[in-house]
Amino acid sequence: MEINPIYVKEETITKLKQLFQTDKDIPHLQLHQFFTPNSFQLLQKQFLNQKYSSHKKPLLFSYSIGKSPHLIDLSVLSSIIKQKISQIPFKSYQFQHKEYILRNDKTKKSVGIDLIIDLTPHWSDSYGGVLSYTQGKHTIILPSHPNSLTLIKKNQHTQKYLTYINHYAKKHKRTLLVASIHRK
Amino acid sequence: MSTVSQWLNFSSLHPSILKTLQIKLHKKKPFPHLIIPHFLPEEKALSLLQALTQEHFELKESDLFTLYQTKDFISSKNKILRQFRSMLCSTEFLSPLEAITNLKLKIHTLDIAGTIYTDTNYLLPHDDQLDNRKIAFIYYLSTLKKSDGGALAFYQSKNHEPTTIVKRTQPTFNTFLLFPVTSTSFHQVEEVLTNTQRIAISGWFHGN
Repeated sequence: MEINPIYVKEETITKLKQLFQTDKDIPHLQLHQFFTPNSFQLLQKQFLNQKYSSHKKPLLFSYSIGKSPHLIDLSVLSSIIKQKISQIPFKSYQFQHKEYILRNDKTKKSVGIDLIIDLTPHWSDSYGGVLSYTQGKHTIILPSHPNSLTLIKKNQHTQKYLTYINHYAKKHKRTLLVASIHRK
Repeated sequence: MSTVSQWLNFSSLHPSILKTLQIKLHKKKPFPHLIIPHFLPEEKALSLLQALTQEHFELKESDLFTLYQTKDFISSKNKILRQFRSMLCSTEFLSPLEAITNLKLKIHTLDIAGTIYTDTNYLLPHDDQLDNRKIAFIYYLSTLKKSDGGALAFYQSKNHEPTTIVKRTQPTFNTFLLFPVTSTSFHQVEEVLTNTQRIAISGWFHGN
């Protein structure tokens, strides 16, 4: 996968590292146009139409998961997150009408960094399906941006949720690649 | 003075009727519940609806729900709403309710508020267990067709976890629905799909 050359430049990395490390509440970054257009198209082609299986625990979540993890080389992020990383295994998730993730204590205690690649082609926040992270009084809302990579630093109090997707979504689906890097 | 006889279609229930309701409640699947149509005389239901629509409804949003809600009627300036609350938590009303449910209830203690669910509003699965809640109730003041959504859906459960929806009840004007709050009383309000408002009064009876 080819990453947008701007994110490989040293000055960009320095700036992003600074932004990520100085955000005190819920450190996070959303990098738009993260992959080159061709690479992003390839990712979409691979994940938008693959087979997904439905998973539902009504008190926790309702979504579909893709077949197998996909490795993406994100060594470029090592300096930003201050941890050496290379091939990261991403799981693919799809959310459609009536699906959601609720806040729950089971997502707590997973200290580290979440990485989210948004493959959704067209999404309106009026459909619901908005991804949020909370930590005490602080909440960050992550709107859908196709071809974005989001990094969120989690501590033992961080919880995430994805709001219920309403009937205006019709047949639209949110497709996300999600990975977690655990703190060493 | 707000007595049960001033409000309800039945002032006193014969023990045999109480027994029938008790059997009916406990027979219902996936968990005990009771649906009482024509709960109030029509004019009382309409006056309650009119009083409720004068109240301020605040948008409540979380990961679990999006809906509009009033403050608890205990602090309402509206006499009709306060009287309805008093009636529901009076000894006259609680005694037959205790007989039907086999639960000991706390007199003059009730959580009660108005709710409106409109297009896209919902309440996701939960069991209502909190504090001393013993019985959950909902009194519908509007009617929704199946195509409007807004059904109250009941879950079957396994090992105290909800599995699948096995019963749906569409809101019907002047219908009172109640169920004991237990570790298996998993339910949800399904998304409202049109501009028809799902108007109701709901809350919980408490135990000691």
